[in-house]
Amino acid sequence: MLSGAAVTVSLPFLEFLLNDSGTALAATREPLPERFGTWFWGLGVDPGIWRPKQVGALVDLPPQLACIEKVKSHVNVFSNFDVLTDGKPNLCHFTGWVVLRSGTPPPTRDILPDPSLDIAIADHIGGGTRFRSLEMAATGRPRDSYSFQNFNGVNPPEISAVELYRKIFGADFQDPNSPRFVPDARLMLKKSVLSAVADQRNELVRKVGAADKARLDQYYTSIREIENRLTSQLEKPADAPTCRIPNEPADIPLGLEADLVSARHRAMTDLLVMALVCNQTKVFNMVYSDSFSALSRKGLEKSHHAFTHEEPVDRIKGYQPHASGFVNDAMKEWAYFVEKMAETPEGDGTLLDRCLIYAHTDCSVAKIHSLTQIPMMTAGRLNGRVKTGQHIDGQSQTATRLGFTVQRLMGLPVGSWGAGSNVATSPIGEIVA
Amino acid sequence: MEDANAAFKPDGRTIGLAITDVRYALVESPMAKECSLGLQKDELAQYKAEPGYRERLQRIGGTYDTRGPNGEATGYIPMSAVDPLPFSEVITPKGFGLNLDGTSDGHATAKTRQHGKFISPENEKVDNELARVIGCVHGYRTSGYMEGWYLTILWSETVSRQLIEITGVDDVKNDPSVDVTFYKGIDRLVRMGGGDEFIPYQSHRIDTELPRYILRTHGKIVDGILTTAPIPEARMPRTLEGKAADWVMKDMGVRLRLTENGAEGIIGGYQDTALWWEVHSKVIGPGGYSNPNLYRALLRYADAYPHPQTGRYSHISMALKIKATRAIIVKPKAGGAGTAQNAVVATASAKGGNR
Amino acid sequence: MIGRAAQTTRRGPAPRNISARIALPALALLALGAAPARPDESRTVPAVAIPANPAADVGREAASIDLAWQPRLRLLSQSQYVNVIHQVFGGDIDVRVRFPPVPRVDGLLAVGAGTVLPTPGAVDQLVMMAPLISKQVVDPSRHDRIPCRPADTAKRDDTCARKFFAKAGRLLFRRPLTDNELQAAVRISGTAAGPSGGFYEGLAYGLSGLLVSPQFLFISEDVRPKKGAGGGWELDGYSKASRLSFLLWDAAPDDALLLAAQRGDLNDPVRLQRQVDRMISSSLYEDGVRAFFTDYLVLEAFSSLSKDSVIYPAYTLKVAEEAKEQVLRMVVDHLVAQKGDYRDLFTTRRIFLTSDLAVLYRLGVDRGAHGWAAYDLPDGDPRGGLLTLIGFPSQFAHAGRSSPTIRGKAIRETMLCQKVPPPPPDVDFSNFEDPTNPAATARERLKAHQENPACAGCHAITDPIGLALENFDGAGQFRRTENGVVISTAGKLDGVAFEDAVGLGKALRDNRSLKSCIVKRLYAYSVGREMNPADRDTLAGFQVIFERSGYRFEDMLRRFIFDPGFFVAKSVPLHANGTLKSAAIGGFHDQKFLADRSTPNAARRAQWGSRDRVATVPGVLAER
Repeated sequence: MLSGAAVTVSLPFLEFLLNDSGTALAATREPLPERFGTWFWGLGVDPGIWRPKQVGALVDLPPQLACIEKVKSHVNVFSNFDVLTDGKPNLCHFTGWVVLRSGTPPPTRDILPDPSLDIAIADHIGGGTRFRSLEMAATGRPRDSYSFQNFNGVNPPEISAVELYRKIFGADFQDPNSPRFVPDARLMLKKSVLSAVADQRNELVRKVGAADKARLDQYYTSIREIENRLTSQLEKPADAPTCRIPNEPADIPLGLEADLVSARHRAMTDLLVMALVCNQTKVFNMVYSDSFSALSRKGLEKSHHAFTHEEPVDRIKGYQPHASGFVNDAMKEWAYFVEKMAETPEGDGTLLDRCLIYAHTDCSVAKIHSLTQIPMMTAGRLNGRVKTGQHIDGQSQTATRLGFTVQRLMGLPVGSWGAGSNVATSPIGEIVA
Repeated sequence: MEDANAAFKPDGRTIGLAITDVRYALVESPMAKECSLGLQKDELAQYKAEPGYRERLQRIGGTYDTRGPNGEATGYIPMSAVDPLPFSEVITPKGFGLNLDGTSDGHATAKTRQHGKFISPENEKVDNELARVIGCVHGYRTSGYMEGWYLTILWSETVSRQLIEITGVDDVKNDPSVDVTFYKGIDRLVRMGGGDEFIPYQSHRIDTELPRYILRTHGKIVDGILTTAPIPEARMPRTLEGKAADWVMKDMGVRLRLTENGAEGIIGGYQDTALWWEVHSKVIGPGGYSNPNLYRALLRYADAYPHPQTGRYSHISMALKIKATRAIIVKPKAGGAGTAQNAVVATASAKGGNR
Repeated sequence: MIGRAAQTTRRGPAPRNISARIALPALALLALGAAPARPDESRTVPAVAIPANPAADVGREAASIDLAWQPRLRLLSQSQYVNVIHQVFGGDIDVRVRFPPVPRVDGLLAVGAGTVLPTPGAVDQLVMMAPLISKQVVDPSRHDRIPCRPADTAKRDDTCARKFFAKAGRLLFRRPLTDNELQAAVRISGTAAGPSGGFYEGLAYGLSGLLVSPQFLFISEDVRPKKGAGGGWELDGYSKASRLSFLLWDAAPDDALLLAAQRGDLNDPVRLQRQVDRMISSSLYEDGVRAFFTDYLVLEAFSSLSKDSVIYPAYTLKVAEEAKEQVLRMVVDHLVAQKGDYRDLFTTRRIFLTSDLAVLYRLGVDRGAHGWAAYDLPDGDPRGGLLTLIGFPSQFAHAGRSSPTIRGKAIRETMLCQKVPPPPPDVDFSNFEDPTNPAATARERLKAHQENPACAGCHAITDPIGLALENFDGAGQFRRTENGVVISTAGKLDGVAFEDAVGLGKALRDNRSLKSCIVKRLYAYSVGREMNPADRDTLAGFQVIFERSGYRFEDMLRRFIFDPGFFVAKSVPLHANGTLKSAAIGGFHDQKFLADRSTPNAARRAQWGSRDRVATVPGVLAER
């Protein structure tokens, strides 16, 4: 295994931006966009049956990962990386994901000290599409989002596949493959409406205190972003030969039973892949289950979370059977997600070829909320810039190195990421091609 | 707005039931071994078995069920044709039903003719001559057309809601005297998530505008099984695709095993054959039979109530298998009903209330 | 009740003109001292002189200027947004907006609305909703609601557009539009009329502009110098109108209230009272009460609550919705229709049922699938009070099982305003389910909490009261036994013994924290901001009054509204470049305010200690 320090030296920042493999060019020779996404599941794994035995190439998958067999060549598995709390409390099912998303451990449950990394990545690569990013929660609950500016500013997720469909493929959708492009006059009008709103900024801002001014500025920034999006829609969309408008999905009833959540996740995934190849967004955040996962299963009286704490460990198996079943489900859904990306054609390859997906959870062993040896994964080769199909042993280094690597790979000019002991300054060289 | 009298605690000596499943009580095996010739041949098979049927079709037009000499439909005029292939007879001695005539061998009585008896699972000699008519008809058997069609209507529409109320219950297991009333209801059944079971203890209001469906009788409970004295003239609501298809029976009674959340068992009686044929031929038509054979069987097996002049039997013994879920039956001005602890209900809740 | 007003001398000296260096530690101590369980113990409250005329208080000068608060922009809530649209354009407008998740601050979303940050994702939803609403408003079927007819429907008509926006804009912005605002709307409509197809279509664009304006989406309270001797600042008339209407109606001021504001009526005690009387007698008042309790009792949780359909088949999604409505019906019936005392919500025996809810009670209902019926629980019934409705026990439970700990925690945090610390991260709970453990009931299983010192402290706060509700399973259905063993429900709440859930309700009813909690939450909700140590005396003073007059909801609201501090605010004048005038800074509010600018929560926490003070049991909670 390579040491992180050595890698830093050998990878000047510019290399990340270069593309000499040519795989990013579609048939039209227009460069195809790169995408970034996160995939979240709650309540960790059972390390004994999740962690691959061998470091290096992903060969023999352990039982809890067996379901990714089909897509393992696209995936990296990261084990043995640690999240550190830096003397702050381990806020159960909170500290872990906050650090993995933002690099900084929170002092209390109502503080998110730094924005989540997808925000910066969207700032960097997100232009030119209708949506800056798409947030989705397969749980169907409006609070399940791990994309945030701070505690008071969370990007709300889409919670229903039908609503997601209407948002992306509803009336305002412009088919990139439509032979004729007529700029929609209504877009111009819509834009003028927003401009007029923004014009009145000074009048309002004058009257408020500094904290409110910051909030209003965020509001106007959001408005400007929508304006820009409308502007981009006034131009003929880039060709997207593999873009197909999907059918409107069937309504899935409310509920946290695992089969309903799975149905929601898959319906949302199916829409997402088309939203991506149709160039509607470049950044996405998918939540399969929340960090306190309340997922349930018909006939079982408790939720996944309650099982992790109250179910005895099976002495022979070495894990909690019911709780473990929920983790298996999460891995199956992850496999579905990656597979769907990998089988969606785009350009001379697949959608996944141009994606980098960062998957993680909130803890290692949910029963004791451990933050050491926290499981993480990635998927996608990002135009050949990411090496995949590997199991990387973090040897107790800080887990923020992956978040840092991801940002570097996406082209962000960051020299380090994270705070205190969680600061990461070197990318994980093993996955950098 | 809310009405203070509109909610009430049910009388503790009452058991309410809403019927959730009704089907003909037939003995069925996968290969129809209970039928002498397997399942009945249908109209098309019979027609094809007639010599020169193709030429006939070409000559007088129509379809395979307009088999009368002048193209009469066999459903409407079953005697207009004769089936070339024989009728498959029910040959099993086992069956379901109630002992309607009171005999153990089916000998003729003042109101019934000599007929065969089935042996019920409880080892009783029971009457169910209609089973001999339709027992080998695919359309009337489980998974036949009739079942799915009717049950869907029963579950999704309120028009066929049938309620049974047992009152004066001192002991849910053994009570020598209880009162039993049938009502037509107007409320929906609520299904449990993802299953064919229904949520018990829903409130069900009775249909006060159609009192003809209100039937009263007495009964007894022995070892948890309710049996009733026959109701001389009975009518149970049934609608099929908007068309009235009531069960109209004489001497109707029940035999129900009462459970914590419902009941299952048999409703039996003498069904009016003419009405039955009307519904069969003009409303249901579930397929898997030929009318000439079937009608003749109906006449042949009709076993009760001879016509004073013609001597023809106008009614046929029959049995329905039913399931019911516990219900709280709501009658007008239900407020102020008894407030005694509901002994039956308390037993149910004591099980942890989880089910 | 409103014939008597707040006492004149309840406020102690408020810290003013203290340098930040000294103020911070002192205030931190104050914060800790102000445990909500006994707000009135730390200070002797003088005898109260109650004037006969409530109006007398309003114009009266008080030291309250020091307690004033710089108003914050508060994002409309989802229900307020819907209510306003319906109020202005008619109840038949279909509004399916989803607002961003708002942080719960001080137990209230209404307070969190003052800090929520409009992220792109959140604004996106609002921007997408606006044209969908506008389109309905200008639909031909609703043209008669637009105050004029255009000369030619195919063309722009600025005169008519101006009329429309002057009227609608005033209701949406809760004040007359400025010339700029009005002109902008008229201009957009005019420009759009051609390309979009006509006058009405153009109007829709102008209206969309108003609907995405921060002036509509944020409740902004403006201050003006207070008239009279003491100086200071207070809300201006329109801001007073908004504060009243969002509190009492969960909606914007109507035309009459705006007129009153314009005329200055809301500065006049007698005319203010006339408006308040009018508002409380309006049918919209029920919406206001519902909105507060939906927030206070965390009822939004029901929109995503589901139960295991195998274990609790009768708890359908319809039942979950109705369980929430059942709580609100009890609240409205008891507090509005009966004008009852808030505390008696925990003992009242009148409940409301649908036929589907009645299944969980084994009761009958003569109302069909959707009607509601009132029912008085008979004497001796094991149910009674808010906690024994279907709502509370099912909301605070697992999908397929009850949870005494979750329920106990919810009572502490929601109804008693206490904070239960989270469990330590490395605790192992699995002995609860050890198959060799013969425990049949939750009480036996939870014994492990008492035996483990790491657990015992906090669980002593939650478990005993949670166990009192064990007769109600995870769906709120009554049961006497669990696994065949009779459930024992006896316990103590802060030293007061009870036998069962009904007894717990009685103990809660008389619990001191229950009373201070409703006062604190309702007042914070009314003024739309977090309570801080400087509010302690105000709250304590209210409580002295309510102890005598009862905790009748309408009285409480009126006491708040007619309190001299209710509309008082603090101005923070700004230089043109947006920096704070140093002269205006002084005293702790501004310190807090300054802290907000940089790292809001961290700095605030450093100053105030934990936002929700931790109840250290049993000492603090125990009644003496």
